[in-house]
Amino acid sequence: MRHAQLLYRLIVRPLLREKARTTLTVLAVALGVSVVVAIDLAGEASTNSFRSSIETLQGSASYEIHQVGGIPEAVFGELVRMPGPLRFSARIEGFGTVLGRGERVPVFGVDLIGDALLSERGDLPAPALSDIMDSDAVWVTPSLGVAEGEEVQLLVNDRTETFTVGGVIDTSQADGGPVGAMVVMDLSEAQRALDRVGRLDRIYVHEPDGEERDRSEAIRQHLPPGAVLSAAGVRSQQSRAMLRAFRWNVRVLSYIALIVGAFLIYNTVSVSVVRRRPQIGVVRALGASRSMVRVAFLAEGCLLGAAGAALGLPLGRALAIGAVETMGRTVQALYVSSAPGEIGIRPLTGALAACVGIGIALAASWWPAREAAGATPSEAMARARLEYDAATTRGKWAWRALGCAIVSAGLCLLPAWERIPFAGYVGALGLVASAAMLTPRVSAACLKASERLFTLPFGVAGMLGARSLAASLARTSVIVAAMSIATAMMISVGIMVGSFRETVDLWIQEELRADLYLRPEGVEGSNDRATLSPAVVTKVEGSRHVAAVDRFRTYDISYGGLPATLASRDIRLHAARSTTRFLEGPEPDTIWDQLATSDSLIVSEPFNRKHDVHVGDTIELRLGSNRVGFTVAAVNYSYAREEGLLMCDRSILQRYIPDSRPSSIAIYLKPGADIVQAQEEIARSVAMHNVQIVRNREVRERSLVVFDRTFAIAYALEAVAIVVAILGMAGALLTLVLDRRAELGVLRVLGATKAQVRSLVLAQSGMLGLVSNLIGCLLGGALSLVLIKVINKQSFGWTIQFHWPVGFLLAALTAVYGASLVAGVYPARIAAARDPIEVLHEE
Amino acid sequence: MVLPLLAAIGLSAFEPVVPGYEFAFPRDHFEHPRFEHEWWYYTGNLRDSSGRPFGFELTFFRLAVEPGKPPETAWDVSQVYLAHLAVSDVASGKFHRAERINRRGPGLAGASETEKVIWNGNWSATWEFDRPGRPAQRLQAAAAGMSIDLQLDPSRPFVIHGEDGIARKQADGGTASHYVSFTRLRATGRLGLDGELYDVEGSAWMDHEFSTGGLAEGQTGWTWLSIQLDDGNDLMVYGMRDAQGNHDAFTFGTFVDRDGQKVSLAGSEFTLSPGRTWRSSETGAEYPVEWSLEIPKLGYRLACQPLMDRQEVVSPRNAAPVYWEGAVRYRGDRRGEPVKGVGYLEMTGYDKPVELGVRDSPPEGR
Amino acid sequence: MTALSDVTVEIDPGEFVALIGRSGCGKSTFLNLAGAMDLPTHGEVHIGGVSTARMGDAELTAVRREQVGFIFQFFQLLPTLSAVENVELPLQLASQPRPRHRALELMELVGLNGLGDRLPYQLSGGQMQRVAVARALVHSPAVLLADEPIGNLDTETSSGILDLLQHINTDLGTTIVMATHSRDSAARAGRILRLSDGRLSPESPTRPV
Repeated sequence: MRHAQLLYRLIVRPLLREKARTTLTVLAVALGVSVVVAIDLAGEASTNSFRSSIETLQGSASYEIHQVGGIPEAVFGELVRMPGPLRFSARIEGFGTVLGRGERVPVFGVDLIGDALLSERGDLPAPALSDIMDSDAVWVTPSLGVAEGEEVQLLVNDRTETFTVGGVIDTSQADGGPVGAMVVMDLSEAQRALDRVGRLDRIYVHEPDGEERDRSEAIRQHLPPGAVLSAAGVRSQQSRAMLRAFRWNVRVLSYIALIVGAFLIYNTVSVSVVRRRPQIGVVRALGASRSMVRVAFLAEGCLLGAAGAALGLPLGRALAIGAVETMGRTVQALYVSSAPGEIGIRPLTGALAACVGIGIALAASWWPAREAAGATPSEAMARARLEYDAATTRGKWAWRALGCAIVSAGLCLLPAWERIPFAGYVGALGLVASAAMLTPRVSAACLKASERLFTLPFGVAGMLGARSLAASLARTSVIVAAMSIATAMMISVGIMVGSFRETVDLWIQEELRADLYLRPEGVEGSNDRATLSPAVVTKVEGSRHVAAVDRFRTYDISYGGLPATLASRDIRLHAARSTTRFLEGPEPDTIWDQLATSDSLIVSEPFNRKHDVHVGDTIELRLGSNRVGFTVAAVNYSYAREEGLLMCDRSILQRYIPDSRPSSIAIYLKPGADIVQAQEEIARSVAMHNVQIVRNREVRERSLVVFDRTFAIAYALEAVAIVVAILGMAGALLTLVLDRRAELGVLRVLGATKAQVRSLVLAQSGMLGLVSNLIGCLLGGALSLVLIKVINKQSFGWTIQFHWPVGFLLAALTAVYGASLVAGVYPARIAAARDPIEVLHEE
Repeated sequence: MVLPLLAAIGLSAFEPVVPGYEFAFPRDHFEHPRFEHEWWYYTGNLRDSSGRPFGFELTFFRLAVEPGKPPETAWDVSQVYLAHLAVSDVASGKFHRAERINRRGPGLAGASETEKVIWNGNWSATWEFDRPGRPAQRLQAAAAGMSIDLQLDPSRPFVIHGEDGIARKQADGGTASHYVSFTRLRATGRLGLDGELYDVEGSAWMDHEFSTGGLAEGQTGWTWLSIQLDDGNDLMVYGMRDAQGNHDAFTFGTFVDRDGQKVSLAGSEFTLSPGRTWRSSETGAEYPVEWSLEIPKLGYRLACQPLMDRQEVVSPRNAAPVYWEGAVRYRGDRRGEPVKGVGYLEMTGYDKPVELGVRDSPPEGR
Repeated sequence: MTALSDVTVEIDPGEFVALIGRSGCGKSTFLNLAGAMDLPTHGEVHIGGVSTARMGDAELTAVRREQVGFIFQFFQLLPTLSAVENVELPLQLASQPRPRHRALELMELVGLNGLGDRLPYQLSGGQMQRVAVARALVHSPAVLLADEPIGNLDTETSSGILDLLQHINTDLGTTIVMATHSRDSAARAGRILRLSDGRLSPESPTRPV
């Protein structure tokens, strides 16, 4: 208790007295914490929500049965007659757009009469028989905003159907969190509406409670060889495994703001130590032990961290709303369709904020606190106002930096762990650390050089500014380091994304050569498996402008415990008209011949990297009711699917899954056909179907829009890191101004104008900005290589061609420089506002 | 026995029950989709090796839905199959019951002549026609906490109730049924209760009935008794009841002697009077669980007593009316000679008049 | 740099010793060593019979807490603490009970009744030094080390502080070692030691005429 009081008097009171500086530091920490919290919350909401609707209907099932192309429903009839306690639930799964709301939601078909699961639960519909027999009845979640008895129009596949709401699903009793939006209808209706007559998408197996026996063998005896029996929820797990790398990358990006924040705490506590060194001496003389002093300064860091965390938590919650939307889009574009779920603050979120805020604060104040405790009382008092140990400028630090950089480079060569490039992250962090170690030296050199440079435009103010920065080099270099790191990350991510975008754009141009593309309306998300009626294809083929139609069909499959996409198309047609670039494989003509004539396929680069599958390998796929060995004919560059894409010929796949409905079609027009006219005519001929026809250029533009959306989150995170750095710089300059107030007073007494004092401070912030830009540029270049060659490749498996996004870089650097000037505005005003006489008196 | 779930939603759509129906077996042991409703009713009294008594009921119902547009998928609902499994554990007084509802779907339920199986999910009655006129039937069913696996061998041939192939239940003939019974089947097998397996044997009764149409005006329910006496004779008596509890003219019975010879009993030839009542705390219905039966023509005076009072079947999804269906025993005499026996008692319409038609209100609490 | 060499001196309990010498002659170093505020580069300082060089931080801290009180030339009050908070600080650092009560006693002793809530900058120089004296005495140290306690004060105020020190020496029996460059103030002490060229020599008290 007595110590608490001491702590208050010796630590809290001074902090409270220097409101501006404390506020800036706390704000910086809060921002850092809030970003981490926001990303955590948003990640949870945007990546986990896809499971909620599916898992709601999965209930307590122990197994699930799945088959690419659908399970023949007779299998279900056999299963339900298996003697014993097992119960089975059949499911149809698809997506539909609720017209008027424009929302794409999962559509489920369940056996509303006999489902073993439904009769056990309170939150799902168990309607009266008469309602079920009304074949247009659907049950909806409250979020869709339609009431019982109302009509709802649902766009499924390529047509619109009208349904009557039979009831609203009571989601309040659902265990396991919120239920995502969904539409539930009877199986018969779902089979018809989603074009799945005769097939089931999934069968869940329920075991009675407490059943220990493994019944999977008994179940398997009733299944076709192609069917997959797995633990229930495996699909979500696979999707989650898929998403894990993505979430890690975003999470790591969110830590950057935090690292920048850590530098600021380090700086704040260091300054605190330096300025209060005489007081430390006195307190030690009066009987404070070393550990007490150390604890006191750690406590100061802690307090800043805790305050930052407390502020960062609600801020993070607020930021998460924006982040969840951006991340949701990314998840949707890259992985699975999902409507973002609720953003919930769990006790764990608070703990995360506290851990992150306080942890980083403790780490950052460790060295200053140690230094404060290290000196004897008389030393402490004698060295009052001296700069703290600027040993970092010494030569040995250059060697350490070099060593660190070499080790980091080595780490970058290590493989990923569980598809998460931890070594790459550590390597990148090591490069950052090397840069931080070199910063004092580089700053010193730069300041020395710039002294003369700045004297020209700013006159004596520039010279004085450079001098005072150099004099407080240890402090200055911490700020420069923080700023450089923020800049570097922005630049590296910018280069990575820019290169990626360019690469993807080129690929799209080579890969997509058809004139028009047609697909069901409303399709969103990569696992949305809407299909087109064969009638649509016939009508398009009948158009006088059309030379050829390439029918594209995709299926979700699972390979090696991870989801993947299997696609089929008219291979010869595609080969003749577009360019595919291969990473591995023989001559293109050989590849195409092999594909068109045998059970062979092309695997995409991400698939090749994830599963280590190469040309000539045979991979076993479960297609329809069969297990088929496919030979890998080639590995191609493909940026369509993160999870990996397998491509085979349409006729080959039809042997195993005889479903002629395409997911989309590519239309090649006859030479000389007028594209506008052709599009109009085709649109007219298929007017009764809900399809969208887009031109080649539009597809490319839309893809790039999706691409940009996907990376919006990365840019947002970088921007926050820069803001944190700016706050830190403002704080540091403010300290400098306060510490040099005597100097400034003297300047004023000697005849300096307010404007001159102001420009002195602005000159300083400008210098800091320049030095940070310089270091940030170099570090950013190095980091972008790590991102492109290591982190991206290990977590996603894409080859990205290096490319300088010159415009972006110039804009980013200018922005950082501009922001650093802005950071100087407030301290400059403070400096100029002080009455010189008062300043002199104070000393 | 008689449990009309779906009423005439336009009688024209279904085949009416008319006199002179020509039975053909084994075809007529299985389903008749053109009739509106149909059921296969297995009940019986069992004992394990230590003499511990059990009662069981396994019933398969089929309810036709009026044919609408031609079905597009196997899942379109043209028939609804309902099944009840109940076990009366007399020793503990526990009554276990479970329900299954399915559509035909891709083979979820049915009663197929070709497969010779009547089933709902994995509850089934599998027939084997190795003995002419006396097909063996194997019952298999399991639900939470109970299971049965019983081999049923007919001790005598089946009988067709009523005259001219129909059993009348209504004056205008609108309600009548084609009604076939195996009045005595030797049952052996296993019964599982709460994790325990019992080797059991005993005697069972099987009813198969199919018809079109519902109850007549003023009829609220019915009473049905199956009686297997130790003198080797079997009896079935049946009565439609009005709101006052009186049995109307369409009360009849069938007497079957040990050789399978049938004697039909008109309602005027016997009296069935209620005795002690039991009130269900679950539904509030008050059932006369004891009855006395006098058949002067055959000289029988019998008192019917339940093995336990609580044997009420309530459909969790309100898919069927509430009914009491339980194991009973009989004591009495035939012309002074003491006789005793076992059987089953069924009573409907005591919570409210048996409702005709598809239930439109979803079950409470949903 | 050698501030002190070959300095051997014994001071008896209850003595009031003045240490004189020119600026930079090593007076502060002497006091710092005597108060366990610094460690000698060579040689030994014994406090209570134990060499400070052999003491760890805990023991050195204990010496400062329990045995020594220190008065600085520039007062060295903590600017964010009020007068009485400054005084009770040593007690709080040592986790002593009821520090405020004792601090107020000391404030009374140094004649600053009622000024306890003022912050250092609201006090005059003499008042600040009185607070410093109170702070140095609050834990009843055996030895009070005063480094130029009146170096920054005018004559009249200095006299008051010296009176206070003498009073403490005689009434409380606290041993006082005071470094000063002024012969006049040194004359208040019972024994005067001169420090020159890093050596100590006794000097008889001479009173000004």
